[in-house]
Amino acid sequence: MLRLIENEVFKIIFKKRLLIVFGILLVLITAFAYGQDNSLNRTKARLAGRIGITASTDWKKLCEQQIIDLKNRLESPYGHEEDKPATRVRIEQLQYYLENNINPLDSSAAKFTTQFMEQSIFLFLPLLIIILAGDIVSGEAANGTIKLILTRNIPRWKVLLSKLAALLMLEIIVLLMAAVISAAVSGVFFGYGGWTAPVATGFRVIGDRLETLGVVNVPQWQYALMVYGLAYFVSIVVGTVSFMISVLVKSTSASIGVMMSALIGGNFLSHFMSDWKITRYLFMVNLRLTDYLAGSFQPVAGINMAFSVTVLSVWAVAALAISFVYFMRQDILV
Amino acid sequence: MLKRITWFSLLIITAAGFVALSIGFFKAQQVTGGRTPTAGKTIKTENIPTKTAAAAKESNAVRIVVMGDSVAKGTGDEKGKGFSGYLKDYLKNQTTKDISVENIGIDGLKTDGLLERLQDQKLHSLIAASDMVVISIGGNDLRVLRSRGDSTKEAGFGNLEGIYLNNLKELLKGVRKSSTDTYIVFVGLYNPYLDAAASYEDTQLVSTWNYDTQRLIEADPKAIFIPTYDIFKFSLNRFIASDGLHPNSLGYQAISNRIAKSVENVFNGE
Repeated sequence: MLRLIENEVFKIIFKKRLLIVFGILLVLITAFAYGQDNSLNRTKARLAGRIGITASTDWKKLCEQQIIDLKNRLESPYGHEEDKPATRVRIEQLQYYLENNINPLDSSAAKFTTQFMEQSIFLFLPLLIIILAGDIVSGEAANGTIKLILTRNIPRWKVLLSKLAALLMLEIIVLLMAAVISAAVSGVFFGYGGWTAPVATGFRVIGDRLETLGVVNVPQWQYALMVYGLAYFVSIVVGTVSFMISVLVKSTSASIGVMMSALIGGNFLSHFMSDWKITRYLFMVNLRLTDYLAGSFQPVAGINMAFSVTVLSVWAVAALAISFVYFMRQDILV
Repeated sequence: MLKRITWFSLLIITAAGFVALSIGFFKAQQVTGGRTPTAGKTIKTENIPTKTAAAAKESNAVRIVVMGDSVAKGTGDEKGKGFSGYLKDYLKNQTTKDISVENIGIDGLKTDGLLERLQDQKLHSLIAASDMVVISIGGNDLRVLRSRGDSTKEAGFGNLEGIYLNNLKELLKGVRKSSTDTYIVFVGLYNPYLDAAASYEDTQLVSTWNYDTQRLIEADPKAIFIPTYDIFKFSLNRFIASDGLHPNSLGYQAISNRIAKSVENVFNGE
């Protein structure tokens, strides 16, 4: 079985798919890092122009002042009890910035690595996965090699399973590549630090509002780990769905095309038909898992991390079942 | 051979990556759901003096309640005092009486929010026991207008001011319901945007707003409107905090001085 997987992994590597993904990542991450550096500098210049301070020297005063204000708010007996954890978390962050002499405006390799994945998780990362997964079965059907494989004395499910395992392995490689390239490239612009900076998380949806009672600070590296963990989950789901398409459709370009239009169409759907309830059960609109971590989403009753993960899991399991059943019963020689 | 080495290193990397990513995934699940919030529900012990109005009105003490928005609270003061702090310091030097200041300003509060707070029983007894109530409100009511385009500003302003004046009327009524003889000091609006967008219309709108407020306030014989517009007009750079909106320490001192000058004789004369 391991040999079969090995074989499948090298098939993908020799087809230079991984190299293409690497190239895309390198080019885009460099462009993003450069762009962010640029816009940061412009923001600073604008701030300096508007309130007459140089952000590089006076941010400390601003921080101290914010801390005083927030502390006052904490002590005010008329404040809302549920706002307090968030306020405390914010004070902790500001104090960390002051103690470690970090301008909160500035970016860092750690911040960028996290942000890059948060921005890519719903479209860019799935597209990369599709590049890998799109032709994994249909490619063999298109050039006829599938017949050669199946004439060997190996059960069909084993063939398919080894392809799936190879895909899941390579998804990890893609994520590692994304993390390493982002950290390495953005470090040139922002410096290689920032891994221990506190990040707020722990938001929950109760009813239809965002609840901040459980908000806590976690170090940036741990936050990044959570983001990439969620990204891997998303990769698995998108991978298995496009795996299924690849089994069902005989041509590689059709398989990639179907998945791409589903993804992009799904993103449109969530914009235009957000009040149409059935759209929330589509897998494409549930990919933004990292938003739940950051608390940066429009709270809707019943939609939370658990909901999205469940929907995605159901899709993945259904896709797997369909691909295996279809592949076992399919009449290849026709 | 090379292929075998690549394969095994790939296996190890992916295995390690899988473990790390799974930990991350489950950690994320835990953080966003899982446990129910148990902490944080500790009810703060209230330390507000809840004396009855009669008992509190000793002649040897001056009780001041400061309420309203962030300017009342003192946001932006790098010393964290706000005008309520400076006012207390100043009055302490002027009289032998005991000065106590209770500041219940809240960032971003509008008139409707303050009206809501006024229903609170605690605040009611606080005002009933007070000798002076200082109110700063309305800045956030008016600030809504800044996001509008110039063409809709005029119409929007009339609407907004109408609602505001209505709320203010209710507010004064509410304070008077709690206490018929406390002094009411209303802090007028200044324009922090003078240098950035010094359009003539904006200046006019603020003036109209302040004027109508003053007329309403001073209909009450024991209420006074304290203008702040003129303090800031030529001193924005010195008096505005680095957030570009709130007064800084010097700005609050200037506001406090003005209030103090207007009311000091009230408490000295007795």
